[in-house]
Amino acid sequence: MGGLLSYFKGLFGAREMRILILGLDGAGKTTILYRLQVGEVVTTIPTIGFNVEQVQYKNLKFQVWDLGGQTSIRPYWRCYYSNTDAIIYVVDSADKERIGISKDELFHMLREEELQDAILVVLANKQDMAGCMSVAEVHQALGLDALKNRTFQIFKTSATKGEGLDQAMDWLSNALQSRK
Amino acid sequence: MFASLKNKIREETGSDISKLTAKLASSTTQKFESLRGRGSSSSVNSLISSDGAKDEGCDALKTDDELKKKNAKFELELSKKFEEKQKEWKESSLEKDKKVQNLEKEKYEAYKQISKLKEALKLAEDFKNKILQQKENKEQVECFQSQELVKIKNLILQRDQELADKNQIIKDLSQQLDKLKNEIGRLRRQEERLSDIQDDLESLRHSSARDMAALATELAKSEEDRRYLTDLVSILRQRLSEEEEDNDGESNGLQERKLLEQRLEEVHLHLADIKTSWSDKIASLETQVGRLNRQAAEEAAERRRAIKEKEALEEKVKQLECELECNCLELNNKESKVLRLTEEIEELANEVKHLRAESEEEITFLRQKLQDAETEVKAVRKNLDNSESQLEKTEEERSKLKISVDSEHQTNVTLRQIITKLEKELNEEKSNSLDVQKTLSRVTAEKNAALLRNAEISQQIDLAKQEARRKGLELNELSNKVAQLDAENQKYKELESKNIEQELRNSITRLEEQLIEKNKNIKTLQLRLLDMKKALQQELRAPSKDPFTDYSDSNSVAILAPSQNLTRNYHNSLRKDEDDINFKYLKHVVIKFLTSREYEAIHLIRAIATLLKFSPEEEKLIQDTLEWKMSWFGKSRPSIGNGQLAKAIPPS
Repeated sequence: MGGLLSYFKGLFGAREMRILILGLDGAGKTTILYRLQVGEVVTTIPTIGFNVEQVQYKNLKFQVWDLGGQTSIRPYWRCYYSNTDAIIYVVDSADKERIGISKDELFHMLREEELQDAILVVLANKQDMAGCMSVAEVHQALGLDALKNRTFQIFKTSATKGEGLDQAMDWLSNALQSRK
Repeated sequence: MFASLKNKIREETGSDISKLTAKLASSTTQKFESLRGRGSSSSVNSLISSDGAKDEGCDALKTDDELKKKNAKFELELSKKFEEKQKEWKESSLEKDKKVQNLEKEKYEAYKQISKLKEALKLAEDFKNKILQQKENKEQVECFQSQELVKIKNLILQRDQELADKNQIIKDLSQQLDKLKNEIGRLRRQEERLSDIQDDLESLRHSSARDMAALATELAKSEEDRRYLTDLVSILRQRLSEEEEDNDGESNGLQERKLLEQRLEEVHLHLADIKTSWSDKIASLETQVGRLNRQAAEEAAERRRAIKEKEALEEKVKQLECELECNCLELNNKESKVLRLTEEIEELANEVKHLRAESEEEITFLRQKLQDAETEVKAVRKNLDNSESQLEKTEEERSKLKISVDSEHQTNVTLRQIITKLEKELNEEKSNSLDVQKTLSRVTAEKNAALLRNAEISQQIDLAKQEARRKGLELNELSNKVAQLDAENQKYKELESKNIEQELRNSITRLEEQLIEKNKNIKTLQLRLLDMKKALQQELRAPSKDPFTDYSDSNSVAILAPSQNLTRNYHNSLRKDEDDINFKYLKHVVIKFLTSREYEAIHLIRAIATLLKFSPEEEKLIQDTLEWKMSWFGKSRPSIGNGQLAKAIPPS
C-alpha cells in the first residue's frame, strides 16, 4: 500500500521533502520538530534513536527526521544522509563551551558527498536564555564565513516560545521551491 | 414641757438652772472684765506680745477653762436632751405620718376596690345589655319563624283547596263519563233495533220485488193474451171480410162477427177488470213500498243521527278520558307536591322546634348568665357597700387621726417654740463660748509666734539642706566625670576590637581570594577536561570513519571498532554505557524498521546495515527485497540462495 502511495507520489511529482534536524544533544531538536508539527511545546526525553514526522508548511509537505544527537550515536547520522533535501542544524546558543564541538560536527557533516546539494538552515536556538550568544556570535563561532557553494541561512529561534521558527521555515520553503 | 425639762436638767446637774445661769453670768462677766482689763491690745499684738502679758493671762485662762468646761458640759447636756426630745418627737411624728400614710394607702386601696367594683358593675351591665339584645334577637327570630310557618300553612291550605277543586272536577267528569257510557249503551240497543228494522225493510223489499215480478209476469201473460186476442180479432176480421166478399153467408158472418165482437168486448171488459185489479194491486203495493221507503229513510236518518251522536259522544268520551288522564297526572303531581310540601312542613317544623330548643337553651343560658351577673352585681354591690362603709370608717379614723395629728402638731409647735427658746439660750451660750474662743485664739497666736521661731529654725535647716544639695550637685558632676572617663575607656576598648575585626576581615578576603583562585583552577581543569573530551571525540570519530570508508575491505571492522579503541583508554564502565546506548539505538532503529512501511524502511537500511555490520551483499539483498515488496509489476524476486545459505524463508 505504501509502495502504491509512493508510486503515485512519484508519478505526480508531489514528492515529500526530506529534511534532517541535526545538532548536539540537548540543543532542542525534538522540541523544534514537535513545535513544527503540532505547534505546541511537548515534554521531551533525550532521543536515543530518531523521530520522524510529517510536517505540512504552507502547501509543502516535509518528512522531517530528528536524529538523536548524543556523542555515541552521532556517527550514525551519516546513515540517513541519502536523498536529503535540507538540513536544519540546531545550535544551543547558551552552550558556549560546546560550540566548538558543534562547529566540528557541522563541518564534518557538510563534507559528506550525499549532502552536497542539501540546503542548510542553522538555528541559533535558546535565544530566550539569559547570557546566550547572539546570532552574529554564533555565526562567528561556527565559522560559517568559510562556507562556499552552499545555500544556507542562520536564524535566531526560541523553540519553547515559538519565535523565529516561522521565518526559518518560510525561507526554507522558498529556497526549496526556487531550487526546483 | 419646759418645766419638766428644767426639772430634768436639775436632776442631771444637781443644781438649779437659775443658779447655774447666775454662776455662768458672773463667770462670763468676770471673764469679760478680765479680758477687757488686759487692754485693747489687738490679737496681732497679743500674738507677738511679751512674756509678761502671758503670765497675766494665766489665771484668767484657768477660770476660763473651768467656765468653758462647764459651759461645754451644759451645752452637751442641753444638746443631748434636745436631741433626745427631738428624736422622740420625730419618732412620734414619723409614726403619725406612717399611720396617715397607711390610712391613705388603705383609702387608695379602697378607691381601687371601688373602681374595680364599678368596672365589674359595668361589665355586669354590659352583660345585661347583651342578654337583652340576644333576647330581642331571639324574639325577632321567633317572629320570623312564626311568619314563615304561617306562610307555609297558607300555601298548604291553598294547595289543599286546589286539590279539593280538582277532585270535584274529576268527580264531575267521571259522572259525565258514566252518563255518556249509559247513553252509549242505550244507543247500542237502538242500533240493534235499527238493524232489525233494516232487516225487516230488506225482507219487505224482497217480498215486494217478488210480488212485483209476479205481477209483471201476470201482466205480460195478459198482454200476450190480449195480443193473441187482437190477433184472433184481426184473423176474424179477415175472415169476415172474406165472407162479405162471398155474400153468401153475409148474414152468418155478420152474426158470427157480432158474436165475436161481443166476445171481444167481453174479453176487453175482462182485461179491463184485470187491469184495474192489477193497477189497484200495484198501487197498493206502490203505496206500501213508498211507505216502507219512507220508513226506511226515516230509519236511516235516525241511524245517521244516532251514528253522529255516537261519534260525538265517543269524541267527548275521548276528550273526557284525556282530561281524566291529565287530571290524574295533575292529581299525582299535586299529591307529590303535597307530599313534598308536607315533608317541607315537617322539616320546617323540626327546624322550628330545633331553633326553639336552641333559642330556649340560649335563653336559659343567658338567663343563667344574667342571674349570675346579677348575683355578681349584688355581691359587688355588697362589697361596694362594705368597702364604702369601711371607707367611711377609715375616713372617720383618719379624721380622728388628723385631729390627733393636729393636736400633736400643736404640741410639736409648742415644743418647737421651747426649742427655739432653748436655741436662743444656746446662742447666748455660744456667744459666751465665742468670747472664750477669742481668748483661746490669743493663746494660739502666742503659740504661732513660737511656731514662727520654729520656722526660723526650719529656714536655717533649709539653708543647710541647700548646702547639702550643692554638695550633691558636686557629687553628680564628679560622677559625670567618672562616666566620661568610662566612655573614653570604652572607646579605647572599641578601637581595640575594631582592629581585631579588620584583621578578621582581611583574613576573610584572603580566604575569598584563595577560593576564587581555587575556582579558577577548577575552571581551568574543567576546560582541560573539555579539551580532553574533544580529543577523545576526535579520536572516536577518526576510527569510526575508517570502517565506513573501507567498507568493502573487511566485514569484521565495523562501528564497534572505536569502542574497542576506547577500552584501551577508558574504564570498562564507560564502555558499558556506550554499549548500552548503542544497543538502545539498535533496538529503536530495528523496531522502527519493522513497524514502518517499506517506503520509510528503505531509508533505514543503511542505518541497520551499519549497526549490524551487514556485508554489502546482505545490504543489497535487503534493499532488493524491499524494492520487490514495493513494486507491483511482477518484478522478479531477488535470489535468496538455497539450502543452508538461504537468506530468507523459502516461499510456501
